[in-house]
Amino acid sequence: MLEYLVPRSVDRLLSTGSRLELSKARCRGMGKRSAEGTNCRFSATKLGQRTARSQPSIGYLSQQKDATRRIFFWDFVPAFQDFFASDFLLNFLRGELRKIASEKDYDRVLSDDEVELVRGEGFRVSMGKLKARSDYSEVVCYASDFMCINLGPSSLQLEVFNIPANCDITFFDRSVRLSPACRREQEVGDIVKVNAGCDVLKFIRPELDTFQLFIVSLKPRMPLLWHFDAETLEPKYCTSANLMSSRLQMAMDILVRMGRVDAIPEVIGAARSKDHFVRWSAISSVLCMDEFEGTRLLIGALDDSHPDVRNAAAAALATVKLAN
Amino acid sequence: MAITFNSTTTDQIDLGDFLELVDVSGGEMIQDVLISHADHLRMLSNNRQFLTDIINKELTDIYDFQPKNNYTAQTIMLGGVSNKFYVRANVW
Repeated sequence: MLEYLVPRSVDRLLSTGSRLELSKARCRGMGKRSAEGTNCRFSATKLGQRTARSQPSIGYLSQQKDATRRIFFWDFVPAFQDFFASDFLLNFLRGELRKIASEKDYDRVLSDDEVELVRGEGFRVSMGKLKARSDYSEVVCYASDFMCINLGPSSLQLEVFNIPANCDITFFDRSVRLSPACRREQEVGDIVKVNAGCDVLKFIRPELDTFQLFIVSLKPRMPLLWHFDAETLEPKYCTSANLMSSRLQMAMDILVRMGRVDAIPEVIGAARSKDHFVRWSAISSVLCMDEFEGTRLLIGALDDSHPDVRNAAAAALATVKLAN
Repeated sequence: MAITFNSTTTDQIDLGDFLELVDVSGGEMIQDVLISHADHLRMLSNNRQFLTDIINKELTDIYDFQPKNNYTAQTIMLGGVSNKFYVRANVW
């Protein structure tokens, strides 16, 4: 069931669209790959002259719940293209954006420059803005597949880089260097498809604030997001693809910053998480609040199942010994 | 346009009291109603425990941490009344 995160009139439009079906034959023709996403490296297609539909086909996606077969994000590209070309977008841009700006209780703002429009079973649609007056300090290799269409008003220049094919992206490594793939222009109407764990886009600052519509898979294919310095392209840090893990990390950081030593038992409990990202966040948080307990956890982490935790624990123990 | 209040109260209230005060103050959360709670919000912010209390309590089950929170990782949902208002903490 699609969850509609849009004002009522758009909700109605989508509800109508949910009755629209693509033929099963067409559906079968969509998937042409040997493994999930592996042949879907960066590509760009022009929306072109697809005929605008009065009802968007995105409702079709809500019907894909057959647990007996795997559903791939890229299988739905034609449906997304129909969605881009449908009256939904036109109507939304004509009227609903103004409504969003004036509605007191509109709370679907993801950030100051991104608004979520639709959330489906395995994807979300949002509208974002590339600012004309801002330089971005980092570029990111995302953990989820996504595609974006340039809504204008400016065309966009972008450089595409790739993670080297022999790199194991599941382990963060600062020695990795991006390889340039191409430089191209994304004209208004162009769709860019970005493959998780592979493609890294660097948009050149546009002359005017320029809007993009994003469709992002909600099923990450990689455990980590890699953040690179936008200038040097060197890896800076990684974050978890799992929103819950990132939130737990942030929550424990708050406890540290507010000196909640009494919360140490709960944080120690988080050090037993299945997620190595959470385990390390918990260990380092305890270390900040109680050196004795933190050192005890560090010693235990030398045998952690994840090499990043083992390496970080060894380095931290060396630092602690040096400080003492 | 943002409105700035210079509340100087040093009183403190709990999150539960704050939510109740907002809930009983009006049927519709229009701007004037919200403005009337500026002092209460300051009282809540004077309480240096409530945010970490919530985090600490929820950490007891890390696999059920903020289950209904669809915002980014920097947002902690604190509570509210369905279809009326909610309170959240953002960390930047």
